[in-house]
Amino acid sequence: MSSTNRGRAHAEAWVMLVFILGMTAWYANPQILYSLHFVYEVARLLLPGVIPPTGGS
Amino acid sequence: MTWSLVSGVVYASISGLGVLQIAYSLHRLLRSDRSSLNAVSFVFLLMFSATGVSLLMGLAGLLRPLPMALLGGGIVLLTWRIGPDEIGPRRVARSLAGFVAEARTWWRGIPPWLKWLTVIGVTVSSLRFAFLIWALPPFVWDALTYHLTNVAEWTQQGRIGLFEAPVARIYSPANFEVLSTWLTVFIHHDMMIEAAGIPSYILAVLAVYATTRGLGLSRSGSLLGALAYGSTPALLLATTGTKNDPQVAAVYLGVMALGVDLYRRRDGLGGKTLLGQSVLIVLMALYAVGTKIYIVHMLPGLALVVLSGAWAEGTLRSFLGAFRDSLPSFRQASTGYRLALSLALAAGIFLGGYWNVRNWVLTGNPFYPYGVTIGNEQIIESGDRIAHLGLDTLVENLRLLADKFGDRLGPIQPDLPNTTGWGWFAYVLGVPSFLWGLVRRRRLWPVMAGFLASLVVLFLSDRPSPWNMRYAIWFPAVFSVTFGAFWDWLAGEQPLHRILVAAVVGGTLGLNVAMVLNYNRISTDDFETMLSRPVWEREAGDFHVSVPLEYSNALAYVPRTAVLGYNVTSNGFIYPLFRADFSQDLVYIPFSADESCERVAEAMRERNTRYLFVAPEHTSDEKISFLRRCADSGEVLRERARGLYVINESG
Repeated sequence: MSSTNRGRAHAEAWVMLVFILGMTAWYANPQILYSLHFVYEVARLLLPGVIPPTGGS
Repeated sequence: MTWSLVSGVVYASISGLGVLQIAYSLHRLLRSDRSSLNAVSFVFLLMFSATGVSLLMGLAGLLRPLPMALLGGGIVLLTWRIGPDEIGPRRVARSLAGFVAEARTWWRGIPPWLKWLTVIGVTVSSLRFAFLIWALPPFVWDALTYHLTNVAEWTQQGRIGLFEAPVARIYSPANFEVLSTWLTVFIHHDMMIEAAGIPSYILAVLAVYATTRGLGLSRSGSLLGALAYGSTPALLLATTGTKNDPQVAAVYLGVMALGVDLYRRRDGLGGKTLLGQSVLIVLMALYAVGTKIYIVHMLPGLALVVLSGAWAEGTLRSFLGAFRDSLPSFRQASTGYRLALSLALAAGIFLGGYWNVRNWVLTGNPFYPYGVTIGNEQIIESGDRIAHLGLDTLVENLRLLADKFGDRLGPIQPDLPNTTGWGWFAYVLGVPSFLWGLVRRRRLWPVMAGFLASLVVLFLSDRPSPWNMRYAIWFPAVFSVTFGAFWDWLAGEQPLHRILVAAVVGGTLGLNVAMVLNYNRISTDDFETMLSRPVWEREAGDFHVSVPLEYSNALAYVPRTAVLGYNVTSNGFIYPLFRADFSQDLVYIPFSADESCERVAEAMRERNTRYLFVAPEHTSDEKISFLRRCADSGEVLRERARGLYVINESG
């Protein structure tokens, strides 16, 4: 592979990484809350004194 | 219970040996020379054989543990005594040893970090499946309405047949339900029923691996793709959700894997191998037709994969020529081979055609209860539902997909209300890889085009609704395939890129599984309630995630020895009333709110029951109000508990 092609591939890989990170941020809102809700609930049950319940008025 | 459990497990083991023997025999007949395809073939043939045996025995009225075990044991003994060496015990042992040796070599070729990811993924996934199957009774809507209603009735009666019920969808093709019955008939309990989707899950994941390998991708890229598809929330939720969609998805992906292998072969296939693989494709398609008819809408996409792939690879001429040449090789083959192949095809036609032929004979409509309209024209008269094929349906479904894209409207739950169910991996890595493949990898185009074509044709008839994506749980597999190619391309890049992408893969797979640990729906309190009971008493009727409280009253107040009458709508739950051990006899009591109370009591007496069950959302409000009025008048009916009416002893 020539250095020009290698440079292009390198740039392409970085573009893809940025794209992937962008998609991560986009999908995380709001799915991160749904995804970790049950894990949080179980952790709260197992460690009642350590993890506080969700707040509310 | 202990004795019936022990004897049930023994009978199941013997019947299972018979199923294994049939599957192995078919596998020898239809096998490929590629290991990954052979794994796909064997798992599919196991499902195919278990379904075939159960359907045959069910139609004969012999769906009981002892007859099933006798048949299984008889098949093994006969095969080993008078069958050809090709499928005898020595060959089985040799095949098993060969499989283990091959699996070891394959495992050694996987990088250590990916071995760890695989071990963790498989362990977590297995534990999750096992826990949910053990801890929770079935609770998904359609399962309680008609899928499991069939299973319960057949298990209870020891016979597969139609019965009087207000839910016309019990007529639907039911290969998944038949396979599920194999899991209930031996222990006469629904404890294992949610495991019925697991063979389909395994088949689907193996098929994704075989497809990516068939496209020439590396073991690592293919394994990552398969693991990613295995973590798809929509697939995980449906697998233990007692739904038949994973079975259709698995078969679709299995045919895709076989099709990719066929068109990518530059060296061609031997006559018998080509014949075997072609027959396997036909068996898979037929099996899916007997599961859910919408597979027919996905087949054009699969044909597109093979034909466009062969055209793009320049193998179209040799591919079609090989098919022409395979016919003479069939004629020249031994009588035993031809007979075996014909029997396999006959079994496929039986499993694929039985349900629709039965419905055609009984109702004049092979697709009953579905009628079909194309555009504005009614092609097939309806039962109580219409499958509408038209561009307007496609447009509406695409609009719904656009709304749901990104799963931004809510949590991913069973039946996928308002979401695609594709999950973290598909959006974070799959979508970028898909677009990258579109620009950079022409080799992937036939497969990508096939997936898209199948989705578009499916959307021509998929009823637009918040739940329309539940028929497309196979679609995210395209993201796994394109990601495999992207991963292989990254191999030429700096290690940093791969490390970062591998970290994102691990994170997205973990989040996918985390969100479905509890189906994204079951609270810790609900788990506690179920876990506080012995496993034999975890009743669907007492699990109030989607089942109203009235069902608990029916379980609590109606003796097991009594016949329980019920009246629900065409979308009401029937299954929970059977009880987990299928001990409750049920009878449908048709009545209308215009009749007299005495007439309803008469209908109950005619059907030998004192009890009548109704429930809000599952019985019309008019009927419930009418029964309340009857109970208030105190003449012939009284309310035993909410939702449960009894004929007055003096009445």
